[in-house]
Amino acid sequence: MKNRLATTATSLALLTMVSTAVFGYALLSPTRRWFPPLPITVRVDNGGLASVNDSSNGVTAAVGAVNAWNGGGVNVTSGQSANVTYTNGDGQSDIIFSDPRHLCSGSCIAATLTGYYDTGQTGTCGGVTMVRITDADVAFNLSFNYTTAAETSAEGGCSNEIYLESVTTHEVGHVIGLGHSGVSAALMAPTVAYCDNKMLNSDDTAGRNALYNCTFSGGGGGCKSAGQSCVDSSECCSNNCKGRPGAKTCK
Amino acid sequence: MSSKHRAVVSALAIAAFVIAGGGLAGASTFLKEDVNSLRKQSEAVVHAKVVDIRSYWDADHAVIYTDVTLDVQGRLLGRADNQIMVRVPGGTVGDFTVAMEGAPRFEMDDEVVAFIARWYDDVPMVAGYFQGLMKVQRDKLGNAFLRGGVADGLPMSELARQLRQSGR
Repeated sequence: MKNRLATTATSLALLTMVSTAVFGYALLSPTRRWFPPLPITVRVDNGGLASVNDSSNGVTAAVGAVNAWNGGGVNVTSGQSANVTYTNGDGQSDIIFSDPRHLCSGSCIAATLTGYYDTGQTGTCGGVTMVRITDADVAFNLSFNYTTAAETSAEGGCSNEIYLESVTTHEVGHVIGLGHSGVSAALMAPTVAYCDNKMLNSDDTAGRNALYNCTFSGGGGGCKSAGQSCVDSSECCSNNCKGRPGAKTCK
Repeated sequence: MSSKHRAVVSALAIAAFVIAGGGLAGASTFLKEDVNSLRKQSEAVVHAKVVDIRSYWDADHAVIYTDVTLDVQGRLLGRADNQIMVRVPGGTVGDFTVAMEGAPRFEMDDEVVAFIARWYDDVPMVAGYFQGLMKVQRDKLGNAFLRGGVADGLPMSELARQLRQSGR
């Protein structure tokens, strides 16, 4: 009897570990994603990072990291170098290589804020109801030293630096609607170590596919009336969203 | 305890830990903290109750912040006023929500233990973001246990002991 109990308990433990490993990715709560048209444009601060000693101060690496989420029939992000500002609610997803709003302090390396309307449009993806992300911006803490694969390849190593590609790809995972994974090898695991240049693995792409590799039907939740806050005109019954960034309303 | 009994208990303990998820929480990207590293960043560690939560756009209408008022019931480390207002990135204003993954999350009437540091402008913050905030839960005997953050699973008295010890 004791043998059977021990076997059952051990099986339960192993089964639980295996299932956790398989289904490690997490979606943000409430479940949310960008609605078509896709891909969304993610602008990368063309000023770069002074601590990155490669030919573009990390801009090229960061643009590549944005686009790393595309593949397997999913085309969700389009990175481009631009002059950017950090404003929530302007409908433009930006990565800025500074922290002008002082969001990221101490052990925070980079911070992503995603914006959405609680009572706004919803859509379904594979039968799951999702809220529409209307904005997402990423800020970096300049207290850390960053590097890229190009830099470490040229210099022969990494020392007490954070890989820009790894952090950028992780943050863009949040931008598109992913939370943190329970799989430690996943790029979307919650913490990062110095000189650890993690790449997307199968758990990360499974999370992406859960949000974007599906038949999407959107626009549920109705259009917004005059006076309600909005980011772009497609949300408004009048198809007219105006005002200063972050304070637009349907007309 | 027999070896078979120990095997059963061990296996069940492993299963329970895995099911509990090891206390994972959402985040942006952070360096991993522990009690000692957070203690070094903090001016105080308080046991408190959440008595007010207010979210607002900043003066430039660029970011939403939330001010959380904590009614301090005890001090595990350092000095703190009887009420502290900590600023947290993100929040909801009207029907628009801005969420920072990894920001500490408070709800009204929560009983919490928080590591307190300062933002650049001297306003109090939770040190280490989600890693510096634990929610207090009590067992049937009233003993306080901590959930979340760097002290996940510890009795509150044990965290206090560790903080006293590491401060020597």
